[in-house]
Amino acid sequence: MRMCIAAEGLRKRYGDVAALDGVTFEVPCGGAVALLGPNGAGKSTTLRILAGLLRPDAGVARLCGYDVQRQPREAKACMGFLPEDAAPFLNLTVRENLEYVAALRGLDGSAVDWAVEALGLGDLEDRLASSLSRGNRQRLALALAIMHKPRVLLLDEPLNYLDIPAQESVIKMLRGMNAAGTTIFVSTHIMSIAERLAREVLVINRGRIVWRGAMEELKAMAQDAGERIEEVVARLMR
Amino acid sequence: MSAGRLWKIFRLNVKQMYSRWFLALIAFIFAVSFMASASARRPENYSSLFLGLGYVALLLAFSGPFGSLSLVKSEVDFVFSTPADPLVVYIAKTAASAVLPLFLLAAYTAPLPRPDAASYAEYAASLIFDTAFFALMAGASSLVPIRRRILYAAPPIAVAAATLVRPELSPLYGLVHPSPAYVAYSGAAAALAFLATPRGHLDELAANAYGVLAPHGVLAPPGLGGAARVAGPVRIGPTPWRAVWTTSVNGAVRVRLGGPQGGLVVLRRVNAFKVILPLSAAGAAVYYLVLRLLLGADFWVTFASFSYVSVFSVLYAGSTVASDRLWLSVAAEPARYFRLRMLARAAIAAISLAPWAAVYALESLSYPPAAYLVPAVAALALTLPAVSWLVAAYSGLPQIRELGLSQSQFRFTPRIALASFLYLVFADSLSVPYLLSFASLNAPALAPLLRPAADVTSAASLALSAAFFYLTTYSPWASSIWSWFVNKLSEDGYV
Repeated sequence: MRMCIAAEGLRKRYGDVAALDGVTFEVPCGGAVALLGPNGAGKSTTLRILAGLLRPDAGVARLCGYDVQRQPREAKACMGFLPEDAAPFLNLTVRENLEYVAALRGLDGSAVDWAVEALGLGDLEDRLASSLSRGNRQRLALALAIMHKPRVLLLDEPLNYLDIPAQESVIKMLRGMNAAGTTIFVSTHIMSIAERLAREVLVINRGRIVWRGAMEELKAMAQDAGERIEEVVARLMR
Repeated sequence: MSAGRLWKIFRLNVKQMYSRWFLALIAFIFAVSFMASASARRPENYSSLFLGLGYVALLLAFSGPFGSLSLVKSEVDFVFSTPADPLVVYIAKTAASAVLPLFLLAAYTAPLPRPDAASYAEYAASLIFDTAFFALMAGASSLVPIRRRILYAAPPIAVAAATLVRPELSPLYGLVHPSPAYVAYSGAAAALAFLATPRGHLDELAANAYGVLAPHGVLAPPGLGGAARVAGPVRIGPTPWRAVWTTSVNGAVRVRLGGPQGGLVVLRRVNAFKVILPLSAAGAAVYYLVLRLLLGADFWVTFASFSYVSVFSVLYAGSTVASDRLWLSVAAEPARYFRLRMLARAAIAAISLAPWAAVYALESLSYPPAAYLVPAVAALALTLPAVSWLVAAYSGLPQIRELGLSQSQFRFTPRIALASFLYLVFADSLSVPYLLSFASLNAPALAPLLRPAADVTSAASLALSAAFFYLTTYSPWASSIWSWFVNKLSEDGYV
């Protein structure tokens, strides 16, 4: 089985604090994995290392088989990244934001049209990003992350600020991309989002992976214990 | 990367930095400069032209450390996560930032008559190379760690100084007297500036942006880690005045430092008196020594020194609002908070500008007109605290948030042009008593009229500044002014 995401012994310290302490996991191509953990567990640090925006103190991260630090161009070409609280280019219109990132990635106008369509941004195309609501900025940020139809999609709290209809349409779109072969790796605090986007779960706490398994297994554990799935995850995090 | 893609990246960077109306405005001013500069076209006026060009060069030389080209959060989020070469993106952004220096240099020199077509071609080449030199140096110095910034700031300052003192030694000389030799000189300067691009730092940012920008983690509050060496924990309170004073003096500022992984930008609480006061004192001391040892009494140098002090003071004092977190402070009693805050800012401004008042007082012993700049400095300290924040809000200065980065690119708009123009008029109006006093020296027949006029205007500008201070602190209108300010920041996305 080919692995589209691989983390081998990732370690990262911020001063005296160990953010990651030997994190190792793999995600097969086409997989959909949720990274769950409490605040400060190391979720965002893991995603930033995978996205090639943070160098680990030790260990190797690979995307599509490319070492993100040694072969950053190849790794970044196959990856889309949505950071938490992403800020689009506020002085550009929605369409110009997409055109700018398309130019950086060497994409043509059809990628822009596709992203506008996929995120339902048609009515907002000519609006300045600074004039958008926080929810619409998040939709634009998602469009910037997916416009090149990446093989690997790294998402940090992708549904933040979205209203319920937008959440539903984004979940549908992401599931469609996953069904078409895109590997999804999503970091979230919200269990219901993880349940709908991922088939596998990684639970991280204090910089270590403390549990790994199928979403169905998690649900079965909850059913056996007569608990809600959140209660099971909370127990695993301790 | 294809030319088409490069052009698109450049065009969209221009769009981020300048509004369409601002570009139209500078094109209009450029056209007017053609029509209005008939007197400057005569070679006997070229010495004053070099003076103006030198001051523009000095302004461009100092623009780098103010960081108009520095990173914004969107670039970390969406540029460094693409496979685009960071050097190409940087060059496109630098080229976009060159629009303003190109305009400033051309507005001074393009209207000059040339003898033939070759001369026009040499002028155009010199203009492009000189602009590239200043833009590349400013771009690099806005990116690199603070210790290396002086290396990037030094060559443009040297060029500005040469333009002022010995123009023929400056590459800008070719803008007035075009020749193949000066094209080669300007080209060499631009090439060296390009070769000095901090490529290693750019590569490091592209591969390790969060490591460079937030070495202690993005959740670490400003003031942790190494920052503790700069300003230790500060005791806030127990009185409202003490709280406001302490947080005003220990303001959060964005600084770039050298680190084991390259340069890094951090928000730090910095004691204003440990940073701004020594800088101000050093600047005043250098000014006085240069005046005493090299130049002697000089009307323009003294006038320009006050202009630069007032311009850079308002730029710095205005920029502090971007790093401030006013919302909690204004939640309870906004009018009272702003009154205390403006009192604290006025006290800080007065103490920080005191070395300049002292140096002008000292200078006045041998050059009496300089005495009128002492009350002008006092007027500046009274108006600067409120004016700078109000101008910053009016101009749409973006807030600095995560990673110590602006939320968006600072954008030049007609509002900024208007605010800058009005501020320059105001700052120059503070120099009117100095101008009148200088005129009285040169026109003794009018001295009985000019000297009292200098005294009256000096007293008037000080009184008006005091009235403005009252207006923005204790008057019944103060709360309306600050209500507008808070609303404007809120509309611009401040949190």
